[in-house]
Amino acid sequence: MKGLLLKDFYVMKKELRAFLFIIVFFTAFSFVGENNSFFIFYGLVMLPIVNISLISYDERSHWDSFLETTPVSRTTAVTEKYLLTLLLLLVWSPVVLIVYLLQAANLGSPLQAVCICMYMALFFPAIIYPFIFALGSEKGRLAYFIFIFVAMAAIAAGVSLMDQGAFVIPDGLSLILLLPPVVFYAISWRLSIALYKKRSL
Amino acid sequence: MSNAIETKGLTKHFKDFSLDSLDLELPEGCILGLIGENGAGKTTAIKLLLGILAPDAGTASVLGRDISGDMSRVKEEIGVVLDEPGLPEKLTVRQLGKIMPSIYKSWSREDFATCIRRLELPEDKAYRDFSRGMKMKLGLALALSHKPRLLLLDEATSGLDPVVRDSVTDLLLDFTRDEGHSVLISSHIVSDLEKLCDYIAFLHKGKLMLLEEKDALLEEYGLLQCSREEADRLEPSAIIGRRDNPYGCRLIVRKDSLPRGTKTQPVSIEELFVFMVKEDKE
Repeated sequence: MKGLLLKDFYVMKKELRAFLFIIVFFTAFSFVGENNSFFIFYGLVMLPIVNISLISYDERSHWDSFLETTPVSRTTAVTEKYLLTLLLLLVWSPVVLIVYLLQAANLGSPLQAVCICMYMALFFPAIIYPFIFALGSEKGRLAYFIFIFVAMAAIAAGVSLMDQGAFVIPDGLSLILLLPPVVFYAISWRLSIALYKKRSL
Repeated sequence: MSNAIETKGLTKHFKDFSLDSLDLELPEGCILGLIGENGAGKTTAIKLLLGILAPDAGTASVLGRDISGDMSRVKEEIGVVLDEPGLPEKLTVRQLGKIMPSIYKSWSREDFATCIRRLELPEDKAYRDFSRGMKMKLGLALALSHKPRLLLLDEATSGLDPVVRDSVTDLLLDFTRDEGHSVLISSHIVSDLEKLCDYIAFLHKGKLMLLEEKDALLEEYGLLQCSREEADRLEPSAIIGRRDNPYGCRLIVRKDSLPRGTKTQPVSIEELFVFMVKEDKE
């Protein structure tokens, strides 16, 4: 597991600078003008794409075939990608929270921000990863872009309503609302393992 | 002597190709060359042995472990080089050296460093800037650095220049000095295998045509140049392959089925393979 994470770290450092630039750019863009809280969270939506790009990179370089020849099981290979998403979330979430607190006090409490973070960062990959592990990154990514187009429209509408103070999630409810993305992510992880084990490489 | 690899009736069907009832045996401490044209089923056989593909029929064991079970433990003891080594393009040898100890429990930094030095690979050059020969050498260095007992090499010498092929050959011969070490190497370049192997297997269109000890094979078969009339008088079962030309015939023959006193020339593995495959086509 540690070796796989290290490999992804090396690849990410060299391959995905453009993605990281986009994430930083959009977060910075949220400081421009008013009611731009959508951009605060944009980076979180992009994080799974970073991971999908890593999977795609693995396929292009035949790293997935190489792993098949080693003692690394398919369960470990899938788990590493799910873990990497969580690590990226762990690294990026504090940035989101700081930006959120700096400029969006009208959007509700930090707990509510955490809740939004969890939905954005976990719910999307939880849906898309099983597609990718079952079909490969190219077909899976296409499914993701279609999904993300619809989802972002819904989120933009939701955030816009929050900007207008139309609804505020009470803190108690935010805590409960944290559960579904976590549970959904765990189910998605098990499903991806099952699907990946059946896939012919 | 136990077998490092043993398959019985190993079968895999695809839409347009089948590996049909493969029976292989590789005794421990030996090198088996799996010879076949492109698409003959060599890679399929290796993938089945690694548990990457599930067989439709038959059984196989690798280092004494049935391939239908969990192969992760036995893969600790297998070094593999596929036609495409499958390493990330931007990684360097140094970075791979840091990643691999977490992949293989028995990874040896010393062995890896020795291999890299011996194969003269640059440590800080990105893998994508490597030539085909350097890529295969790196694949081999990775395969040899976790104390494997068995090497599975799929077209590992194809496309390499003679100098690199020679250093790869030396490395493999060193590896098999240990009696517990075995190698299965597949290639369509027969001359590479002729130098290395103790056993030779011919695979053609998914079927095993022949599996024999190399020396016995060269002893058993011979090349006979004769007239067409002489060829027609021979026992049909003695003729493995026949090429007619304006001056007579070139035959690959079973020496023990020839009339006493018939003189033959030595046959190379390559000639034997080409004759057998062409005969099959006709």
